[in-house]
Amino acid sequence: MWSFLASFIPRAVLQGMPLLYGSTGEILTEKSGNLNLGIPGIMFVGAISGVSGAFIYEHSVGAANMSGVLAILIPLLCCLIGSFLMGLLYCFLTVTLRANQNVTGLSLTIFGTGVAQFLGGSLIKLTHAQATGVASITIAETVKYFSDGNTPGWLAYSGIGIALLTALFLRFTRKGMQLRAVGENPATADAAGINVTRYKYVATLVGSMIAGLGGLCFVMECAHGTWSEPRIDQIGWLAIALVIFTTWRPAISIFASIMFGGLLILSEHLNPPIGIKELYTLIPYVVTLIVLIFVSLRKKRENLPPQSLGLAYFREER
Amino acid sequence: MKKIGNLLPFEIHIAKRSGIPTWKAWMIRGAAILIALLLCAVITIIITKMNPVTVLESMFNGTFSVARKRWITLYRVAILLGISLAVTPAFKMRFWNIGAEGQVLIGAFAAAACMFYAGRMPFFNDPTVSMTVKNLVLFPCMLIAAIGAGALWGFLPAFFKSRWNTNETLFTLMMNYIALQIVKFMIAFRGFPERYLWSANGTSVGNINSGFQSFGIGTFPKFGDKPGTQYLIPIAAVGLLTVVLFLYLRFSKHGYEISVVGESERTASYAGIKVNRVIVRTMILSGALCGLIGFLIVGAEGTISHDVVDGRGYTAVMVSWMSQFNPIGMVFSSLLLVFMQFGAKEVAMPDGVSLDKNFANMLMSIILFFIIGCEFFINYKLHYSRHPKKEE
Repeated sequence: MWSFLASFIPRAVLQGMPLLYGSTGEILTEKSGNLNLGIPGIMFVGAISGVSGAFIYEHSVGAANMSGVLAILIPLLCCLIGSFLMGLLYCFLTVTLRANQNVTGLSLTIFGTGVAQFLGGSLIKLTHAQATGVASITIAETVKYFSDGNTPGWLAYSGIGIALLTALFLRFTRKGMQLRAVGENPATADAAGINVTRYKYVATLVGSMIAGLGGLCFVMECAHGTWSEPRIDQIGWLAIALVIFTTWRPAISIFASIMFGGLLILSEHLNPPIGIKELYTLIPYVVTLIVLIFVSLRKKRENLPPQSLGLAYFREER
Repeated sequence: MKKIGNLLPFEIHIAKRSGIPTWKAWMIRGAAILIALLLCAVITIIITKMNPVTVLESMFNGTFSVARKRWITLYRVAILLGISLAVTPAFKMRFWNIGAEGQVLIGAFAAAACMFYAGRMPFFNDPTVSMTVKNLVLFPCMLIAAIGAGALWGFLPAFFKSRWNTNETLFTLMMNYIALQIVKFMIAFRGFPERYLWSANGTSVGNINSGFQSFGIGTFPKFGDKPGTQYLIPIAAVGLLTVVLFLYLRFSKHGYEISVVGESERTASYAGIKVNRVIVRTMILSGALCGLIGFLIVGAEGTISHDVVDGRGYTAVMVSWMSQFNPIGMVFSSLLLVFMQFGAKEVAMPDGVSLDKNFANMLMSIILFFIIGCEFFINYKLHYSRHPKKEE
């Protein structure tokens, strides 16, 4: 039993961290009143940007000449830029052009998934043009700078730090409170002299970058730097569900993410007979459903979403 | 911090339009689509480094060159169009249902289950009963099972939404994964008695009942023994569905209620529309239609797997929005999408990389971004004016 827990818990933590990044990013975004359903796509793009950057660096200088700083910075920067651009696209459409947030988010997810899978697939085909049946690329050298294998590495642990910082920011700083005001009632915030558009942009962009790091974390640590049609979209959707589960609290999301991470890998760990495994895989989704229903049954004021969530703000329309 | 607006030589002021002539709105949309298509062309040329005419030619060859490919292409258009039609009533109501993937899959699953267990029954293995009679018994069963399963998958999120305002986007999404895992489980599970195992090897089903005497029941007939004609029934069914749904949304009382609820739930309830009932009813309809498409897929392909829907439940949402919920527009959008998705596979570049479905999805969402973005220019008017002199 103890040996089981000793191997299970670190892996549950590891699997939970991409979820934590995703949900922290989405909480920050939703606090500004933007419902970003594009998180799965953003995580995908963040991941493939990081992987492409690492891949190009690794193959251009060779394993022997790689410097540790660059091996970490290149994927990290590429990931941040990729997810920043995705966030910018979302912001421009929903805040500046006041497009419907649900549709924009959904198409952003389809867009991001398409871009990432196409780029990833092309990278695979370019490197294995002759070999058939090979369906993955590995950035084995870069991964060494991220984690040692089965225990969470520094990128995973930073997720906890970012979640805690976000929680403190939202609760105790002036900017955090103004951000929450924008999400609750942009017209009132506007009248109080808060620049609604700027807050929405900054919160969504930072949120996207945090979520993008979750994608990178998934590939670098959970998948050990191997890219073969990863199921990042699944992680992204669960992250959005976690936002509701934790009632918009990043600090609670730390524990919730680890719990869901555990549920995600339960089927691999218990090693059930073939077939039954598919039922274990069902558990996180059923739990999410039950949680969704349960949360909607309890109607306490502090558990409600930001009041203007999902609505575009236009100053002259009151 | 300096405002970005100050960098421009003029000031932009946004005002809401009170109304815009329909032709002007369509001009704006047309221009947006044109720019989007040009952008897509530029991206394709940059990535493939090929002559655009060659690219189009190979895409066309992959989808329309011979009779067999034309049938398959038409069938794929029909399925995508069918799912898009099915999601439309719910979306028009602003019910964010992204569960079409699961609703179609569970419908297909139910139809396949009927086909499978019928194949083990003595009646269907009786050689004295003709194939036509067997099919006449089996098809209605499959149809009812598929529609029922799809409707159930649509009903659950709507019920919780209308009762307790449970988030429908995530609810329907989780239902997708649940349907997916159920199908995977049935295919992989080894615990049934030998003759009730869904697949011999636990990975793929193959043609349902292929090892049994009742092989072939439950699949659509080929007309005149021509290959590809088994797709005729799904194509005709979706064609009929297009007309019916167009009439339903445009002229029926239900259709009117759906659009009022979509515009504003408050207006609807003030007008005496029972909003919750409309939501549940419409989602049951939406799910049932998805289930119907699942039946058509299983009937035409004679098999089931976990990726039988292949992401089309999500693409259908794009098709529906791109066409502004207009069934006639959806015919063209799904044709374009299928052409891009399956044509792209035929475009092989010199360096061994080929375009694929993901690439087509990418281009399609670019077009959609332009379409949803251009609504801004339909709803709002921009005024330009010179900067007033700085007072300092």
